[in-house]
Amino acid sequence: MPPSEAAAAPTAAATNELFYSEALREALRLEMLRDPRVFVMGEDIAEHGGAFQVTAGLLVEFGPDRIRQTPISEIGIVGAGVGAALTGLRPVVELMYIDFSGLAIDQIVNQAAQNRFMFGGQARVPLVVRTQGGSGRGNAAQHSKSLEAWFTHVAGLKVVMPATPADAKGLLAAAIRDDDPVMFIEHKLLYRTKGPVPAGEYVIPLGKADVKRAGRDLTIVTWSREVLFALEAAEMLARDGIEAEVIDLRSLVPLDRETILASVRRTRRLLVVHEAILRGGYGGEIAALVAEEAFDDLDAPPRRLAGVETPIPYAAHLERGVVPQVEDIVRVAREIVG
Amino acid sequence: MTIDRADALELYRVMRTIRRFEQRSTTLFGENKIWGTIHSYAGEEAIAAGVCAHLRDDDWITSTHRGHGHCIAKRADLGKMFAELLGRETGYCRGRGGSMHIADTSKGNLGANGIVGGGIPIATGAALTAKQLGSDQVAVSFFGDGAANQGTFHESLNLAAIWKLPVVYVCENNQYAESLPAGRAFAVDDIASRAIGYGMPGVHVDGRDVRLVHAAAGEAVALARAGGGPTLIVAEAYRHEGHYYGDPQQYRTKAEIESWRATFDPITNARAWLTSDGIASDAELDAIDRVVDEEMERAVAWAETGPLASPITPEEIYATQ
Amino acid sequence: MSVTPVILPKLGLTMDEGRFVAWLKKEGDHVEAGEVLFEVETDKATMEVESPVAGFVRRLLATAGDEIPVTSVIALISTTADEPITEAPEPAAVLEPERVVAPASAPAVGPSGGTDERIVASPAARKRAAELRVDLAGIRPARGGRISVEDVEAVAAAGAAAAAPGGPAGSGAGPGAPGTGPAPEPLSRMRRVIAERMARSFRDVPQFSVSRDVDMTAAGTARTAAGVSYADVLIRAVARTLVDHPRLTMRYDPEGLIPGDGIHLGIAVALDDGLLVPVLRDADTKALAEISRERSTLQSGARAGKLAADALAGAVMTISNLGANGVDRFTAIVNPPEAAILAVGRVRDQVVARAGQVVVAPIVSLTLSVDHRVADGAEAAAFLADLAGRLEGSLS
Repeated sequence: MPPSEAAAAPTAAATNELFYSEALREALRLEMLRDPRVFVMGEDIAEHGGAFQVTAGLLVEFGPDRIRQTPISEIGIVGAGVGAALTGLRPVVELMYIDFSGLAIDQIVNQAAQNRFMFGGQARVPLVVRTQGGSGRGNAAQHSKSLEAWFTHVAGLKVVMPATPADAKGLLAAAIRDDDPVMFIEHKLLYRTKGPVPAGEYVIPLGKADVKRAGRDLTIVTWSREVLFALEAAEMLARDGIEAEVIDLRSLVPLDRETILASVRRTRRLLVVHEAILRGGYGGEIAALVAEEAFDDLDAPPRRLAGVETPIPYAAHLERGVVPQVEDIVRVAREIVG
Repeated sequence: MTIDRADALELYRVMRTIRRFEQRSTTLFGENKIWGTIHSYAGEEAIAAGVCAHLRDDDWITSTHRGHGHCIAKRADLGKMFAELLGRETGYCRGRGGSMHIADTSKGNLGANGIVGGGIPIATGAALTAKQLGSDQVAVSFFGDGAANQGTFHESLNLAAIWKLPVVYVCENNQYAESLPAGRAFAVDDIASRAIGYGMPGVHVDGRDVRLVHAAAGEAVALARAGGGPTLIVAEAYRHEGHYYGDPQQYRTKAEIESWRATFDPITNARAWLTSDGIASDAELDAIDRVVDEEMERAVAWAETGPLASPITPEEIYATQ
Repeated sequence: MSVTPVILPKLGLTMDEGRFVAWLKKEGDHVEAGEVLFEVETDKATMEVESPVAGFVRRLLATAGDEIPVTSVIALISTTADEPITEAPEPAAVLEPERVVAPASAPAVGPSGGTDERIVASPAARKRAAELRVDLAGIRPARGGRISVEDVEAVAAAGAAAAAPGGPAGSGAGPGAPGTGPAPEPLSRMRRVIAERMARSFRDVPQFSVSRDVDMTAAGTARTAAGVSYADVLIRAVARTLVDHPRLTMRYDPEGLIPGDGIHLGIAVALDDGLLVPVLRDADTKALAEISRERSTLQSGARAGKLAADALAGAVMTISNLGANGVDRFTAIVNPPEAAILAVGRVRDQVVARAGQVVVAPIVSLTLSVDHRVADGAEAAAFLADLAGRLEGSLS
């Protein structure tokens, strides 16, 4: 078993109770200490410490060359990251909101994702694009989307979405060590969630899902903030004797198919939950996978519960209503299990 | 200006090689051996040759969709270039990239680019690497007049200026961005004047005379290598062929093309001053031409023996499995 | 001294051919390399094409208006004005790429390991099984590992032998109503199926029949030697003969004749309440002993109502034998979707003429009914002639 797997359960070494944003910072810091080629570029990351405080304090420790604040130039920043990655550095580039990724999308999709392939193996692009998405803060339509499905659809990109502080630390370390371009998608409402985080070097391999709760009646596959909702829903369902298994994908690409299929073969029921809108969401990929490969193990059709197909509205009650909440998960789970 | 005899002849040889490569690949295209399309650099050779003469193998360039010239000036293997156009496993990109994505990272060529302006930030990032690592490597970004209006141009020049990156931006103004004449794309007469807006030197050269390009590039590369930051060079040129092979070119008249071709040919221009300055005779230059032609035929013959590109494997998409 | 072929070059990404417009030189003219030699019209514009070499134009092979595929040779230029022209060189061999197969998801069939007791059936099959009151257990899927709707319906149609006859009566009055005549007897499922199929055959298939009496002396010897019955010898002979008459193994479809996928023969088996036609597959590949064993198994299986769905499907022709019932000859109705059915009477000793002499020989009457949309009288007759030849020993 590789050392990172052994470290996966945060019970071994010492753990600290950290905010998600602090866990990310720790990962960045340890990787930057370990490898002088790692550096960070982005807007407001220096004295301000980053829009979500992920890089707070790092400027003092690493200096302005490695915590390199940029003007508001998304495609310039990401493109410079591509160039640096192609020539021997390991940049971590920050896009403040995933809604802005469109400004840089050529460098992500046409350049970073494809250089390795287009050049016949002459190059690799060890670039991490850290960004965040999701709704729930009244930031409205241009600052609240969940766009991970866009990036899962590009051959050559990896897509990672941590739900907990421990996973955030371990996955960011892995993403930085990975030689491929990784879209590392955080959630704006997770930054201030707290959880136990292993101290010291901690790396979680990409492509491994995590069964956050075992159960025998229903498999709930989910990621990012909905993981927390699914766990809450599972507690409520348990009081009625329904034991839901909650699988946190952690990586969307590469996808841990085996964990999903093994679970569905036992529970015989699948529910995928994601904040992103239903249409074209990554839940379709999971449902198709299960329908194709576990058809004869299903006692019910695979189901998805996802965001309503609308731009994110501003008013708080409207904003809440367009995204799956705990009670929605409970209701749909009951419908499935009967 | 003075130029070393050996350097002068090498500049001539490089330009002649580029011209012959474009002619030869045009013929291969006519024989239906090249898939997709190609974009001829004929007429612009002095720019690639004059700039790359100052670059080491560990200096980087990024190029455009019209990238054969830069690739050759960066000392590429002609056989591997042809093999790539022919979709062979032995091509630079194993047949996966084609003309628009041809790259040679062993010589610092970070690739031709199918996206107008796509290479500008990448060269900027390469320069950032040099700065971070404290090396004296430089990066050169080649792009056209069309790219000078892309957002990447503006964002990259600004980043390079504020961070004083060792990058030289070379804008090849061949008078047309696809079908749009430069006069209708710019409200300024001199694109180089944009450099002032970003806080870097801007230099305007006649891209017909390789000596002028060579001199301007020499200064800019030396400045970058010494830590003096970026320069924008705008070289006037004229594209002899259409935007892409087969372009009906309804946006310029035959008379215009013929007139420019006659007056704007960096190779005949070079021949003129090489012979009139007594650096070489016509016979010596003809001899260089023959050597280039023979080398070209050997390269084509070698390329045509290569196996077709092999099936794609997962390791090609992701380096970390 | 060399000859350069001039091709019509591909001038654009999508160009497959061009319309030749005009030559700018005549045969015999000298041309410089790079000088315009001809004009061609593409879908975008009229383009000028320059001569690739300097030399003398010796042949012009295109005229105005010709639609010419790219890379066709349209002129020959030689270095001198009068050297003899030789054949154009062969084009280089075209490299074949390895076939790249697009990835498709590969659905697994069957539940994951360890759950053998689970019946693998599609949701649609389960629903149909519930409607038809068919037990999924024991159904062997015809294809793949999963029971389909077709499997369920095949078993439903055939399983009536074991199931109790049921089903609604025809319309009309209930039993014993005064003054309405005798009450109709309800049809079993099997009878219903037979009735429907035979009516359909009669109605939709234009069928004719041809007959032939066959001397079974040689066949009798063969069957005794192998320890099998006349029926087995007949099955093998029919199968081997069908190999040479594949037309009769096809079936009619408005889009065209659909070939069979093997010489699978239906062996009609009479039951108390009707008739089943189990299928002996690939009869042309089997030896007499094997045919005999399989025929027995199929017949007893049919009588016991224990046949799987795939044993009842896929025949390309049926053999119906009423010899055991004392019938000399009869005409059977073609069993759709097959194109032919062979009706066999009893083997009986008869006086026949052989080489001018009167002898007694075992004779059987064979009657072949054929779907006229698939084959004509001549084909049917030829089949019977070959079958007779085989049985009479002149063919093996």
